[in-house]
Amino acid sequence: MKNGESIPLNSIPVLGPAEFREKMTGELRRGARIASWFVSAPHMYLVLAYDGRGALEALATAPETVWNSVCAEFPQAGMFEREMAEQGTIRVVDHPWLKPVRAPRDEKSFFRVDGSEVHEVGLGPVMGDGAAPVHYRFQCHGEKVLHLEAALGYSHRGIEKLLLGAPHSRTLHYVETLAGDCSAGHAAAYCLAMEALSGETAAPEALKIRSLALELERLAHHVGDIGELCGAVSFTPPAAACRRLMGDYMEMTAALCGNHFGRGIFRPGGLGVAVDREVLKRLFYRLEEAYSETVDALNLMRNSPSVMGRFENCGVLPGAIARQLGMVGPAARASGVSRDARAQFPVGDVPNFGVAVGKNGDVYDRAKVRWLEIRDSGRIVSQLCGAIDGAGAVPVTKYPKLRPSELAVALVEGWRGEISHTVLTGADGLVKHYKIVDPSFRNWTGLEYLMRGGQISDFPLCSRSFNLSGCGYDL
Amino acid sequence: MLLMLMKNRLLQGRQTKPFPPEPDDLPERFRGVPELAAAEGQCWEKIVPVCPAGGFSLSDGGAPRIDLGKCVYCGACQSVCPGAVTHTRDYRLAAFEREELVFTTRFERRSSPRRRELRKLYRNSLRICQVNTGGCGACDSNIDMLSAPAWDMARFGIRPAISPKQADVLLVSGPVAANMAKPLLRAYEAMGEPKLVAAVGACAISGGIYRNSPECRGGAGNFLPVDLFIPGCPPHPLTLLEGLLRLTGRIE
Repeated sequence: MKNGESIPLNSIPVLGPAEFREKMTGELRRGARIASWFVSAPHMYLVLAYDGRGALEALATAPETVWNSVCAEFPQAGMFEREMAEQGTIRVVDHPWLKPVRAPRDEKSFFRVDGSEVHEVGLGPVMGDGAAPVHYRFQCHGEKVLHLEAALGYSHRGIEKLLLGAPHSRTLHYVETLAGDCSAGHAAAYCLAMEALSGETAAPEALKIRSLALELERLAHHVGDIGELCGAVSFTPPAAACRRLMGDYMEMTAALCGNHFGRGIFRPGGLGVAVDREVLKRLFYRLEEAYSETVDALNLMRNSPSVMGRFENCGVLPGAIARQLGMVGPAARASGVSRDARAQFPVGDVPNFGVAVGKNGDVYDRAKVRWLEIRDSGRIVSQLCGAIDGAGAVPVTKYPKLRPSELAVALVEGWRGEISHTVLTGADGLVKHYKIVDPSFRNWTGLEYLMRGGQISDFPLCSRSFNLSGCGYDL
Repeated sequence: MLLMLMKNRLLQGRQTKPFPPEPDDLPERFRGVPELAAAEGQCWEKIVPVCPAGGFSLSDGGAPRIDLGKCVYCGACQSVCPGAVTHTRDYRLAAFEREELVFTTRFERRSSPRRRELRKLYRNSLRICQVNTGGCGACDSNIDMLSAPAWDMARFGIRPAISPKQADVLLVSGPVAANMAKPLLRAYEAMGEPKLVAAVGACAISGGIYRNSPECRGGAGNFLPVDLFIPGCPPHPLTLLEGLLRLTGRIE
């Protein structure tokens, strides 16, 4: 099946347990990737993504009570197995790291290094600066980090459960607030899934405006992230400039919908706001101004050898690890993993850009990938502003009418990485299961990995170079 | 490099917006304080099913009631029933009492009875510590924006504190997800007296759209004594700034 497509549930082959395992491991060995994996009684569903040919495949099986973990061979499966075990849908054995995903942890659950000179550092969940609540536990020997573990679950609001029975008046709001700074990304995935299930696709003009909103979100956060990286090394002029520019890009989003986060722009079937040529023209001028100032700010950073020297070889994440962990987004691309859902799983027009990839997987490359994507997004938004006539809004009372007993998959490249929504409808035409995989769910292990052997004082720099979403992970 | 930096700083100039703001400082489609039209002949019943969080409801007699602490400022009400409810461009949403946020005619705010005391303590220095109790992060992002040059809360003496131990006010955002209840209480206990609590955003005030989620605990008011409520989803930086300035006693 393709991205943004919906298929009848009874067309998905229900394999026997051994056959399922063989097919799954076989495809993963050949380079396939898990797009989503979950249990929706009475079946276990696996959606595999074949990045090379832009195809998806849905498999189903009746889950055995005991599942032998495949994590040792395929680390990317690890998080999904832990999640299913925690939800109580299967019992996992032989998992190398079967720990809670979102449930509260006790002291004994943390991996500890013992020794007279080893000390433990705990950070969070109250971070003081309003960052998503996460508890980090470092095992250190002096400055050197021997092991880092992130304990999440503090933001768990039960969103997948709240989406059952969708669509209703709250659905879009849950989707927009599941990762508050990625409202456009998740709303885009939701709309794509709903449109696949209802057959009510959006008009081309509306799709272009949605692309525009997605790229504006990417611009704002990439510029903000680079500012944060400069701030982490105390190079304040570009940090302050980028902070202000992030606000400017968010103001452009606000010109479309009245708020800085793109809420209300997306609606299944089209847009939630009316956009006309006047609005786009004004946006274009604001973009020109902001973009040239962005280039100036980034040049300050790139022309500073001490900043570049600090970024280089800091927080190295090897490409092989990123690939094995199934990582996505700029963090993966910086390590050489060329994955971008816009290029590989396009729906509608493919924006004109090249996938930005780094070589070493260090902080420098994560900044470089962002810089390249800022350049591309700026160009895409600029082109879209000129190419759109405008579109009206879908009435708020209009809910998509979903076909019963189907499965839809929507992959959208949010600014953090690939967002995947897999939706199942019941016989009543309402949502029976809603599985969300935020890029942070896949990427957090990468951050834990790269800190090993690093300096604890590098942690703020490394974690900002990832910029993961606690609430996106926790749902 | 030094010349580049100086040139950049000179070109950037002064980025700080004035407070009170110019009309242009708010987005054109900004949704602020909602206004109710006169009750007769309005299509109130059409609004109830589209309002996501109960910001709009009807009392037993059928009279409309707005709760700014539940409203998510999505504008669904004004789109199904134009003219009946209108979101104005008034960004001043903060209130000292929860009851002030619920109204049937007009939003009216009262100044704090503790204004002199607040002014004496916090006029020149208010240190804020944010606790995200599992919210989506938008409120916190906007609070962070207050430190940026455009809003520059530091010019009013308001600065962030990295730890609750150094804070005057705890800015609580998020619906208090179950796993954050204890950390929230510990953060409050760590603060020294005198201490204040502000509930920021619909989730922290009332649980917002997560009010009925079994994993959420209905907002900060169920755990701590709240001194200031700043509605919004998320509140615009100006709404936040105005609220904090009221807390410092600098404005009514």
